[in-house]
Amino acid sequence: MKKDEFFQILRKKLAIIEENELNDILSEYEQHIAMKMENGKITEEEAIKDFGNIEELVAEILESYHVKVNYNAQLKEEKQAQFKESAKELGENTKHFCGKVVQKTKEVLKNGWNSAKVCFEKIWNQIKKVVKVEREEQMLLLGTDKRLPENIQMMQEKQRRGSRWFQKLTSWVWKVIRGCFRLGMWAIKIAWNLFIAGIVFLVGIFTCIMLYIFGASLVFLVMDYPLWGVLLVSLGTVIFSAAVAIALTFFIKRRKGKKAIFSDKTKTIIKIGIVSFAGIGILLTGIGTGIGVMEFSTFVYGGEQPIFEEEKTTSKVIAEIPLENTGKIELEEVYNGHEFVKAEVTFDASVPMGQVWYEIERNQNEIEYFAVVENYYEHDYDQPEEEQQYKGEIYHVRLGQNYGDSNLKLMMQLKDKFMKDLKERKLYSYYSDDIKSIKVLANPQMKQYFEGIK
Amino acid sequence: MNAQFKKGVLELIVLVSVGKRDMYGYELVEEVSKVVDVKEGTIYPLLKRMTNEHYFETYLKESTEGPTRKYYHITAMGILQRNRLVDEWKDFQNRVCEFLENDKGEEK
Repeated sequence: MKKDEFFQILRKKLAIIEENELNDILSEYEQHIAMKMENGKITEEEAIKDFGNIEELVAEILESYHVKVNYNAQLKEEKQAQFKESAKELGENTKHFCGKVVQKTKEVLKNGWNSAKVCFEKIWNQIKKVVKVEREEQMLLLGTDKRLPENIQMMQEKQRRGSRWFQKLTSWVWKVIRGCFRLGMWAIKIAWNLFIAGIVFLVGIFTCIMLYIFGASLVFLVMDYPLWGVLLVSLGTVIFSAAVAIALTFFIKRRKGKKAIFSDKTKTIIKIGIVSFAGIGILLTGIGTGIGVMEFSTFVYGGEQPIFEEEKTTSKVIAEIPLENTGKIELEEVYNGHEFVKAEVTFDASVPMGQVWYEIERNQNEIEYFAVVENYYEHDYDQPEEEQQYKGEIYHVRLGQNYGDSNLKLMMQLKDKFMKDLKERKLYSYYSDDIKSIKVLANPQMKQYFEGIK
Repeated sequence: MNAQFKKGVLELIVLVSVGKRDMYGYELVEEVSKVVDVKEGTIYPLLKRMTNEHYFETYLKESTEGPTRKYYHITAMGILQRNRLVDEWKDFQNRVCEFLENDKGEEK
């Protein structure tokens, strides 16, 4: 620590001491440090270190003045306690205040609610009165004698009251409300019925599809295909969904008042029937799934199986090449539907000049092979066009394939194999290579044309 | 050396030193260091305390070699305290030595 820092800290910690006294102390220390450095040949930092721990030094200095050493800390604690107290007070005051606010609001709401209730009740009573009078009027018109003195009196009274506009208004309001209510109910009923009808329709379609699958799998089963599982599942779902559809029809709401179609006893029987059918349906579906899984687990995967391997033939394709003095022959690789097959060049004197023969070992299929020869100049493509030098001809030989009807034949043959294997519970990954291998033959004197080609 | 011994005897040494002649801080530290090893952090607060208790008076004196120095001068009260401490020390020393002598005879 340097002298300045040391004194700065001391000043801060001994701030309670009077300015003059403090200066006195510090100047004495300063002198001491200077002399120590001179006489002892030590550094400023070392001289200050000899004063020891600053906190202890400060404590001892303060002690000599009988000053409370931990005065500041004490003060801080007191301040904190005070702060806590006032915070607590504030908290309680707020709580109190909030409580009062809540109370007031509750009162206001209650009063408002009560007065609103009273208002509504008044209106409602009026409406009731009007309704009662109307009903009585209806009864009068339908049933009892008009001429009865009470009725006449009542009608007269009603006429008297009828002149009041308020009664007219309330009766009109009541009619409107009732009308709206009826309309709403009707709309809801229609919507509900449509909804149910929709679901029944969908379930019905589903049932039909499952029935269809059931029929188809029945036929397959007869033909020895392992489809018991599918059969039972479809049968189960047919029964279950039929039961569901019938059950749903009961949810359609009919007009009130119309006599019920079934008696209560019949209804119970029908309900039991539906539930049992649904149960049977689910049971069959479950059994079917189980059987289906078991059947499937007996299937064997035979791996990759090439088809039509037995029917191999060899064809010869001739490529005519108009040779010039210089040039190269380039043979393109052939894709046989599975992978690229490389052509090996063999030199045979029986091949006439100007011809390259392809000997192709292939599957017997409808594919026609032919050779296409294209020639172009060999160029130095890195150079710009004007400076390109003519280096010679390149003869590019490509093997073309004409598929014709081969795909259809392939598919039919594949289908037969697949169905047969399915009966035997075998699954394969089928593949067929068009070309097994290619041999290219050329006259030995044409060797020069083949060199240097990748 | 045992810290407690040092502490007990420091006041005595300081009083006796200043009693011989007036001294300033640095001088006193050196003088006391001849007897016991002390740090400035111990001496100066002690001097401050003893000054506040009126055992010392301080005055500033110009010096030829540097800034003005603060000198400590022993007061009458200081002299009384010094004498008391010296007597106490002598008495204390005798008793401890006697104790040790007796103990030596019984040492195993």
